[in-house]
Amino acid sequence: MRIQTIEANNFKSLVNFRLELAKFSCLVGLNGVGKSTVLQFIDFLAQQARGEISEWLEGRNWKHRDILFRLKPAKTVTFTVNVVDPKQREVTWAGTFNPYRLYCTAEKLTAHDAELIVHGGVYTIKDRNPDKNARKKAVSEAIQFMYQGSILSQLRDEALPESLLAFKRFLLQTESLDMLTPERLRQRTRDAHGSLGHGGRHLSAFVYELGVPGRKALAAKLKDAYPRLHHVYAKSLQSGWKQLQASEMFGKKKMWTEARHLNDGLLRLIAIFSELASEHTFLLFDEIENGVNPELIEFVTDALVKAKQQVLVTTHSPMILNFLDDDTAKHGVIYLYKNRDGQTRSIPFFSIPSLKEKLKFMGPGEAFVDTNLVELADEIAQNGRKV
Amino acid sequence: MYFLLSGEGPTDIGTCADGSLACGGTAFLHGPMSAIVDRLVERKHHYSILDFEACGFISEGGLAQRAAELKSVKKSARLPGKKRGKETRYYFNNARVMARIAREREEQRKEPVVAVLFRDSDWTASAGRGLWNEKRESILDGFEEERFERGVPMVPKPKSEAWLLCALRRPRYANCDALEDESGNDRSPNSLKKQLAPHIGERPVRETLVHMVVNGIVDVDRINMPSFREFRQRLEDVIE
Repeated sequence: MRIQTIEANNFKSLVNFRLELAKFSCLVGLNGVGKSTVLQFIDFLAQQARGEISEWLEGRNWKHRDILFRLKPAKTVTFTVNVVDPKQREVTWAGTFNPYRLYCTAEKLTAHDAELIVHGGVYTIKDRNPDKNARKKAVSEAIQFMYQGSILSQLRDEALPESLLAFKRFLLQTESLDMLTPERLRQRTRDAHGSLGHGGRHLSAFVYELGVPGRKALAAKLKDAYPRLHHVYAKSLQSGWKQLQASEMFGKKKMWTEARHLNDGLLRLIAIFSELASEHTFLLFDEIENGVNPELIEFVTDALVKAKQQVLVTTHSPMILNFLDDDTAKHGVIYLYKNRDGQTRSIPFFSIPSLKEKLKFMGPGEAFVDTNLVELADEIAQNGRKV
Repeated sequence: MYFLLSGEGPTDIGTCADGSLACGGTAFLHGPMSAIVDRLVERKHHYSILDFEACGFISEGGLAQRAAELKSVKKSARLPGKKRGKETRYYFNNARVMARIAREREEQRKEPVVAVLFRDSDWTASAGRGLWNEKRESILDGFEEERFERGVPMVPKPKSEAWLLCALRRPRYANCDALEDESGNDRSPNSLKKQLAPHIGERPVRETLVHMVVNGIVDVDRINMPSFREFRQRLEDVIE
């Protein structure tokens, strides 16, 4: 499954916001235009399927009102997500989230053969799949329980038609790493439960949960970047804490280093590549170039573009962009900017006429760094976009 | 001496009769900027490069095809900074590609080739952003990068219509510097293109403009504005 479009209204600066995503997409733009907000929003959507919105807010140190756009009096966040399944069939999920009640007061999830609707305190599941004789064709019940997020977080898997369940799993397997910090990556932790967690604080347990074959594959991959690297190991300590360490070969001597002494770049690479090796279906990385030395940019970029997952990154790095081929750049590099009302807008970067022209003569990164982004809004406006 | 000319369209350097990316001889339908080059060369050497078919044309698309050679070097870093402005790389890379092609022509023809690269300074690839002089210098830098010495940037400020209007609007040839401060955006209410329209009359525009240069209605010796002077000086130095 992969997301094609996302529409958001009233989530921070995402007001009447629409974003088209490719298999690999890269958000670029000046500071403060909403790149991280987009990642936060997608994480927010994924969290709907998990429930526990309070914990999510707490993890980010946000109050519930922080979710809303501050320049417009609106009390709810609305959204529409459009995805395609491997057979190119569309699934659309639209909802209204009330940040004061912390759940979606209205939802409509539509797949080719099924539908889930939440409206007026009642949820309805319609199953049009002709093969499922055992299942009732339509279930409609009053919601008698408290929950947070989407009702998807509460319904048992068996209660959901396969196409809707696949969508829920896609959401659950979405991982946003928008706050990776070296301090958190160095932490020991007990369990990851399949997620790197806020700031990457579950890294040691996450690597542990990859198992021996997973860790071997991870080390083998990282060896391309760090030829001296021998092992990436997550040790389970007596107390249940997991400790991450790596070994390097210097001549014939092996040296083990614990996570708290590993360099930031290697730690970030372990985080990125362990995510790429995971079962997650959609990965989001903020400022992907952080801590990665220029020699490794091509290695990291290629891995992200070729990943089995859908990937969305933000970057300020012309080098990252320059290692994209033109086609990937045309479809995947998205320019974010703010309009006069402080609302975030998106446009495929290389659909802007001057950038399209530049791309004929230079790499995507060269075109990016050669462009005066502050003045770019004028051109976007001239070409018929409301700025 | 052979001239290789590159422009953006029929109403500046010209185009190929059959729509090819490159051509010469009778297939090259030259535009008014080529006619200007022709007049200036004639002043010095007393022959017409157009009449003697001593010139060839390569379109922007033709240069773009060869630009892949430069793009393949992903780590090539020519970053903007204190010494180099933004919105210049397009001009730099166009010049590099043109220099390479010009050198190949020299080898084929066994004679010196002069490369005239025409680009508006306020055009699609920068949409009004960046400084004219930095763009022009980037073309020179691009030629230099390829060690090609006979490169001539033909970069009107903001676009070719300004040079033509200098000759056509009244009072003729007066206050032409001011034209360089006007917007190059064709959509602006009093765009240079709109100002030029009443002077051209019936289409086709290319032939009309060429006629104006050939017949001296646009007199190259009287156009006096900074971007034209820079172009003319460089051309005359190169063909000396």
